[in-house]
Amino acid sequence: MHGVRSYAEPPEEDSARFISLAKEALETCKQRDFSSQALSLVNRVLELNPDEYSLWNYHKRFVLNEIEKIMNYEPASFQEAAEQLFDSEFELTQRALYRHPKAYSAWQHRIFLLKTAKYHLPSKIYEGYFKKELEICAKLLDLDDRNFHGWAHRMRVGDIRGLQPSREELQFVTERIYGNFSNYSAWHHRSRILPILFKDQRDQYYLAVQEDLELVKQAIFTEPEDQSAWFYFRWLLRGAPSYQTTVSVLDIDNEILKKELCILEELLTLEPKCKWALLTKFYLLQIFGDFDNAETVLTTLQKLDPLRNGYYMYLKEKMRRSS
Amino acid sequence: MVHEEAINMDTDLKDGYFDVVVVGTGLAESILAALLASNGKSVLHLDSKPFYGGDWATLSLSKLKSYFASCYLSENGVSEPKKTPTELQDAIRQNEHFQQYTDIALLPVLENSSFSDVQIVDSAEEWLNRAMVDLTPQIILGNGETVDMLVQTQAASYLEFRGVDEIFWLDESGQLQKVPTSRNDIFRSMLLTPVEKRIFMKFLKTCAVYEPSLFQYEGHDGGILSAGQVVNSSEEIAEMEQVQKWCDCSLCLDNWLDELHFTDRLKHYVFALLGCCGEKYESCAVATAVERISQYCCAVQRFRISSGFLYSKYGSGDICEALCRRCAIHGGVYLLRRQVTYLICDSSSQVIGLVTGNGDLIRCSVVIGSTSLEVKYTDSSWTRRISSDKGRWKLYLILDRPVLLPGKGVDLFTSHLVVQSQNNESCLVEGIQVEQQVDSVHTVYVIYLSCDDVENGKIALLLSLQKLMHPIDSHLCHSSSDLWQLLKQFPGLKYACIGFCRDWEPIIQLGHYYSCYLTKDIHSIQTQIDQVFHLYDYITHREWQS
Repeated sequence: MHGVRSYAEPPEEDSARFISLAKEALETCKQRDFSSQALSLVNRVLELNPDEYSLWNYHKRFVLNEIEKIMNYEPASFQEAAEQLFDSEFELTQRALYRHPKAYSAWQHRIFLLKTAKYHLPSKIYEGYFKKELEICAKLLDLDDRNFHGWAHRMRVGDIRGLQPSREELQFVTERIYGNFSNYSAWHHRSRILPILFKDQRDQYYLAVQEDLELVKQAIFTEPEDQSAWFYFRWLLRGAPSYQTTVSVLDIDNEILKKELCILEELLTLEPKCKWALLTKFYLLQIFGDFDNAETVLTTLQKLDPLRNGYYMYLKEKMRRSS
Repeated sequence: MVHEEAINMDTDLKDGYFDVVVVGTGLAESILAALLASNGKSVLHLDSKPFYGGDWATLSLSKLKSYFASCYLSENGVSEPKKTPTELQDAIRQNEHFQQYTDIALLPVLENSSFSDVQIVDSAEEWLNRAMVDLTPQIILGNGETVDMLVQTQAASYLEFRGVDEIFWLDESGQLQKVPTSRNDIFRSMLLTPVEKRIFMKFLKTCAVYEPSLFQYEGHDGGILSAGQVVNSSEEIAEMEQVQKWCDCSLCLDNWLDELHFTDRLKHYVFALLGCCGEKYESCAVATAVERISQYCCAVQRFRISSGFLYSKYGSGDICEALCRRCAIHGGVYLLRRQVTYLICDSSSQVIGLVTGNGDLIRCSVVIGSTSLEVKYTDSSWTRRISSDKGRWKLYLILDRPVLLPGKGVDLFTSHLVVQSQNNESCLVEGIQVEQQVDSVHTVYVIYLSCDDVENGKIALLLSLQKLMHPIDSHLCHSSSDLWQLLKQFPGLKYACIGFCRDWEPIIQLGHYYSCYLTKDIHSIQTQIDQVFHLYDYITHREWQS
């Protein structure tokens, strides 16, 4: 899981044998040989090492090739054949991911399959695939809730499907954060869906940001050394901006920011050496234009965290220039 | 559960010599028997009852009923020996092994029944007879001497455990408050203020450093430390110094926690956690509290369960049986349904043997028994030993629905109750709820409540039960008989039994008539195990290495 190498177990075959297998498989790729014999060889290599992207590309060609072949069938038999094809492809990636949950190419292949399915198959079937995909993501996140592939995949699946994130998605993230709040991916996911969810409802967005400030407060008080909540906190203090809109929700409202500064002060009386609290305090003081105090905070940080001395010097310099 | 072959085993003990005879198969006695046998001592382990575990046994409801019925009948379980004392004296003189002793004294031994004032409500159906009830349910802290002992003796290989799911605190208004047991619990808690969260987390993390084995268990998200968290060595040293300062502090626990700015709610949490470790909040020294909390933190880290406490899956009696099995593997001899009727002493009052209920003569050099055993010292002074004024009221309940919600697995709760008496005394009530699958159709909830206040314990137990069941109108009844009537109307009640379990005054007379005594029913093995190790050290002249 976290802090553990993604490739825990070595391939079953010894490496020399594996290399010869991989070479053989790559050779078949070049020749565009889609016979079942060639396919099983490629699958075998992929299961051992799902990072071989050329082999996944071979699979993509194979899928497109197959679809072209069955295009002219009767609708009923086309559906059956296509379903069989996609099921076996999904299963292959699942096996590969089971072995190496952090293989980029395998995740990409699933995205390709979903896109292709959406393009070629009737909606009834591809909706089923999407639904199943979200279920698998949830299950994967149960096993390792910090696997960012799972989170990113969830987002992408939604994008391909053409759906906006829903309240349920927000609820899903909330549950994950309740399960473990030291989860950068979950906080990040939250920061991506919130602006989209409340795109045209500024008032509601304002309320949601306030609620989240409360939530993040619980996290930073429980564990002030944990970075992930502080990053989300900073995002909220910046006014929860999104990629699409540069307008932030808190830009004119300094009342909330002042309240948050008081809360930070409260935490700093308990934990005077908390680096993240000091850094956030610096950020707020800078917004308020209180440059003298902001500089004092930076000096404290330089003493507390000598490894990042240069960074704090840079911040000081930057502040002086702007003021 | 009961090993029939052990009962029927008619070992020829006539010329038997044993290094140690252990009387009673309670938890402490079983631990000693297992430790001594693995040390190479020859051990004879006797119990007058037909099952293992004594007052720590796990009985099916049908057996529990007959057990309590026997408590009614005989306050003192004296059984008449087959031979009169003079016949025995003759028999001993004729015995070649005893011929070297010129002067022999026979000291009668009584076994006291521990339960008294038993009251029962029984509306149990036939199928319920298979439900298992612990006489003294044990909650084991997942890290510490008890677990080490179970691992070292290999008794753990016969045992299965389930984790305690939730720990609750029953507040004055009858509301159950969950005690947060991990960083996520603290984060999620709706009741704690952010400042309280910080204080409590800091307290747990600093205590945790005290336990050196903490860092051998990887951090995980359900624990105190987060996954992959590495404690900075300089920070660690600072925390170590802090802990040392705490341990040297001479304040009482409550004042100490005041100094750490603990609020009442946080104190209740510490109270509940210490209670589960078998320590009393009022009398616990700061150093002990720090040690227990650190063991607790380590246990949470070690087992990926929601709290750091373990409960034997098949009841606490299973632990006794597992230990006895280890003892038997090392050559220990077991006899159930066998009482000790006399101790045989030489002229210097040293124990040289004993006589069992069916007249067997056994030679030995050490006898270990629990304090429920009573020895008549000389012929002239047949003084009944005054039982201590200590004891514990116990309430056993079987319900078809949980009292503590959501009622999955094993839950604990503690409660401080003010009983309406002349002094308005407050008593501590401890409770355990265990979800139990009786058969494929039926699930029952076995609830154990106990209180060590002799005078008010019974009312306190019934009051707390009433609070649990009807949090709103808990001011209704005051007298215990009213409450007992009320209990009968509780929905889902299948079986209820309340009784007083007496602590007999411990007498430790090393090297004398009795070689040693074990105090019985200190309720928690956690607090008793030091004494067991001490006895072991004394008998073997060797320190037990964990």
